[in-house]
Amino acid sequence: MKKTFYSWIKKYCFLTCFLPGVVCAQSTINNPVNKVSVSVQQAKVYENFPSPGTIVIRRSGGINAITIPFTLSGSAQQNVDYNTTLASAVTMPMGCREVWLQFAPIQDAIVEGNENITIKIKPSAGYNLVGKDSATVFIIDATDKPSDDEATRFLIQAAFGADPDELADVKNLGFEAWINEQAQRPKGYMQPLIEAKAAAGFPIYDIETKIALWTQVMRRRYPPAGGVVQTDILRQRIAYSLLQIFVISQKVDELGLNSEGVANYYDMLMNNAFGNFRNLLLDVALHPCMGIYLSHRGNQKADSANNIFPDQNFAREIMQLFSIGLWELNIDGSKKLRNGKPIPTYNNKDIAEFSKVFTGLNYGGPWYDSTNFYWAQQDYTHPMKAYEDFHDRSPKKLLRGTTLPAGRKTMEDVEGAVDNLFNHPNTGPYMARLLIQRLVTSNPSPEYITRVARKFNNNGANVRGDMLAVIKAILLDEEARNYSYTQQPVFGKLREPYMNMMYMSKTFNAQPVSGNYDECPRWQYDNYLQEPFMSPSVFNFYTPDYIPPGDMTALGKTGPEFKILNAITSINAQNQMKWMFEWQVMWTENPDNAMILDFSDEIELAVNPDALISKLVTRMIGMPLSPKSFQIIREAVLGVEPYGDYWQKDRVSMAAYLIGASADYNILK
Amino acid sequence: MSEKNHIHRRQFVGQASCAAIGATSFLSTITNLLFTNSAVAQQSGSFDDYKALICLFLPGGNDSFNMLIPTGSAYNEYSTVRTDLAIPKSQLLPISPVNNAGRPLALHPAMGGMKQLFDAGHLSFIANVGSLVRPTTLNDYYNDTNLPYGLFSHSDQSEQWQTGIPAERSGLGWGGRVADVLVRENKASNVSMNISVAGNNLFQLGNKVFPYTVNTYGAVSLDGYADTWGYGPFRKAAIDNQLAQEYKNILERSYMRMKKGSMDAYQEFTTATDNTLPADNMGNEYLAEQLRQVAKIINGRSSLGAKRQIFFLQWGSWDFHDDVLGNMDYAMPILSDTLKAFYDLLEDIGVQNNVILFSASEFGRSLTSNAAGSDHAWGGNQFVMGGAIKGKTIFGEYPDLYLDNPLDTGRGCLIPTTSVDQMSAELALWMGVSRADIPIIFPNLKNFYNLQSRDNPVGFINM
Repeated sequence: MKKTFYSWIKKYCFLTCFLPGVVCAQSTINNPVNKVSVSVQQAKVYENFPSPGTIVIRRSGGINAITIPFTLSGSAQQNVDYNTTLASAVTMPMGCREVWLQFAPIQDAIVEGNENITIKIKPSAGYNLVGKDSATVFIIDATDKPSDDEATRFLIQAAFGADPDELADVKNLGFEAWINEQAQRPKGYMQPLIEAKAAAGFPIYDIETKIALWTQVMRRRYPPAGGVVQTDILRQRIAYSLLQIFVISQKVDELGLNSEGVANYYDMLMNNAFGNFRNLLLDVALHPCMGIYLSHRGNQKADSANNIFPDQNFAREIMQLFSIGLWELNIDGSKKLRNGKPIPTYNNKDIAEFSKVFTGLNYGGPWYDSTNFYWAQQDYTHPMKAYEDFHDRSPKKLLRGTTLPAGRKTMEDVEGAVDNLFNHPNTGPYMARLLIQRLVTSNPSPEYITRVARKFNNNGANVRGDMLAVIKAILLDEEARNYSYTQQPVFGKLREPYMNMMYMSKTFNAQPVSGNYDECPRWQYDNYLQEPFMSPSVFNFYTPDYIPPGDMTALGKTGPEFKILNAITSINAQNQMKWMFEWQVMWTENPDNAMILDFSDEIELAVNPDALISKLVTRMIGMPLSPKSFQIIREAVLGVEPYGDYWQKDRVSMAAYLIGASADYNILK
Repeated sequence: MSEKNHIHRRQFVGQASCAAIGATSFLSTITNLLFTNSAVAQQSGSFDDYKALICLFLPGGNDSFNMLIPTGSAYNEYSTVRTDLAIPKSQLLPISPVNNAGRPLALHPAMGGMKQLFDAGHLSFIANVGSLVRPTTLNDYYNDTNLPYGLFSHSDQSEQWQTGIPAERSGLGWGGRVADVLVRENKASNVSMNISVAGNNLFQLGNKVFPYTVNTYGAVSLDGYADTWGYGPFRKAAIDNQLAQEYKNILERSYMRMKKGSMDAYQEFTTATDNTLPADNMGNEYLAEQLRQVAKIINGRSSLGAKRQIFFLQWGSWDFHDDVLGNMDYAMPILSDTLKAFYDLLEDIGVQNNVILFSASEFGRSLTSNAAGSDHAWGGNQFVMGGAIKGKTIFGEYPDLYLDNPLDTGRGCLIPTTSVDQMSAELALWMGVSRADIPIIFPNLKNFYNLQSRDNPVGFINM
């Protein structure tokens, strides 16, 4: 009998939880005396980014339906400053423990100062009021400066999360000025960090690139005595994103054994992050580590008498992966069709022609000797140079009717081929989509791709390939910034596992006990199928067109990072969060290098779960949780009762862990 | 371990190349719809035996003309075209197939283990297999007539091996579509019929059946989820509520569904695979660890209520544009010895006649050299292993290797003479897919094979 009754409640509540403006959550508590309280989940809302504010009315005790009359007051005007469906009372349906009153701010151009909305609960025979009888939501007037939430969300896209100092910079400067300022900051190179270690006599293994990357991303406090460093965090994030496109990997032994060279490659990506795409492509083509990874280093002209032909590896991938892709594209990223079929951008003959271009290149370090091709002195930190006798001098038929005439020198040919690809109409939309996927969303709209591709084609000053203009176009676009897009059902991207550790370490100010970032999370590949500089192939850990099973397959929507989300990695990632938040430490092999997370602000708030969760959500996500998600976490946090020495810490851990496990956190919107 | 071995080793340690798991862009809607309708007709509960299919993907493109090699009077043709990539004749392991392959053949010098299996009739080769839409000539190639898309590219060719739809992009794999038809033979379970020991892949992805991923240690559990003390129950309630919530955003939905599927399957899988295998000689290479996990699952098949299972493994990174000889000298003994020991283990478990392992690799490689390695090509040689295999045979047609022969698209990149889909369809038939459903799963099979025929598409399985 009892069971039937509860299942009825469950069903009833399910049906009533989706009334507009009022939502409720089911109860399992059976006590006839209703105690009602009122609180806020999201106390500040912003005209800039109008996610709704939520006042929550909670009850304990009874399970019967009760009507709760209230007055709505405050300086903000309904239908002018905010929208709500509320009138003068709300019904808490049978069995529910919470109803949520939501207010959506209205964006306008009026300078009106901050306004507020207050809900005051009236007394009623149906319940006893507990605590305060009113709660207030503040509507913050539109400004040119972002809020904490907006700045956090921006830094999740443009950097490695809401590092407190970087957050302050964004809030002070606003988005565009912040980007401009970042572009001027000194570069945090990796190679010198590794060279310093080598000079100090430490053996250099492949872990050193990961430590150097970690250090540069975290280095706001590095070296520890040096005060706060002006980080080039946007440049770091762009370089990291470019590494996911222009892939090299230390899984190849020769690169595994040459971390200086791999660091130099990364520094090269950094140098080009705000430069011109043509130079980026040229530098990638000439970097010895790419020459090793895609085997065009030491590639020589055909010896047809002996059936030996140039290696085609790099020739293929510079087209397929690094510039134009497989299919001819419209400016909006869609495939061009001929007779209803997509049109390939190149065929195997074109690959053979491009393979002739990339002949005669070999190490170009200080011992470069243009005649010594077969025993060229190994050097991983200088661009490859030409060994003209080994370069194919025949004419080369490139794409779209361009032919490189016979007899040209190696670098003339290489630059000619890079220009051919750089000027291909595909390159703008192709790179626009890849970069948007890295920073903002997995399925950008055709309009978004078009806007960014146009900026690639012409930055406004008749320059093609201006990377800074492209990055601005991506990060400042309405699709990246406006709240309405975040509510679309295919918007966003899955957080990738290694960046997740960077996000949390930066957000919570992770500081090594030793004072130095001498270690970083490692051995991550087996747990997450991802570890920087350890891609399994040139196709990276994930591919831009990967379609996850289920709903996304049915709709044909891509989710690149889902490629490495499976029954193992999804659980490992959540377990890793559990240990990180329970111990409030990012562990390393040597415990002396472990990094302590700083939750001191949150510990202060532990007594007030609403405030605690709101604070953590702002720092970790930068977007309010849905009221239901909030309630789920809050009720678990309240399960940690305020006894003993550690309850504040335990509440913080519980809240951070469950936020980290939530869909709202794992899908960046 | 020698220095050289150390250098080659890296590419074969751990979870290697994902090149095999291709990208997809749009759905093959018609195929999927047709298929869904047809599957309804299938009767359930009609199988009383157990069968498992193991796909061993060798990502990167195995240089398989250095795996199955002409010898004797045909050796010169091979060594002329391969120049510095030719393995010396004296080192080759000659084999004596029961059929006439048109020339004497031998195996790579390190394939002693697989030669034993071949000689014992448990292993055969299929020569010059690759992605094809229809039988293809050099003229078709030059005129771009009915060719698979993205020839010679890793991502596209890997996809086509896995989808069986070479002219189109499909979001579903043929192993997944086979499972969609056959899954009703299994007891309802949270553990999928398709289990991957090598991460996400297209091959196993069906309309209804999605792969369940484990690693070489098995499944992983959510820490603290089962705690009944302290805050455990509160945490568990919150996690359960998060998983049960409806999400409007499809990425959120997909993320939660993955976690929920994993948690639902964990206990069942762990109980079923908590068994002790007979001792084996497989060693501890990553390939062996994957196969041992598969053996554990097979051993626990009755606990899972599984009549049919499809496994996906991946080993190595075979894209040897450089030092193809050295790299294969490292890889082939591991491959060969591990497979021999795995077959022995299947015998010890008593399921050698119920399991077929087949190799797949996106393409063969150019016969000509780039002065150290070989480049992407098209047709290649594959092997099939199991008690049900018609052993000691070379299936398909072993091609001429001389340059500019009628199959040579240039540089010794050969047009395949047997399609991937013929090979795959025969495996699907053996698993129990009906002859009515086969052309729906493999829409191009009719271009190679008379669907009314009583013979099998290639003929390498006794059935």
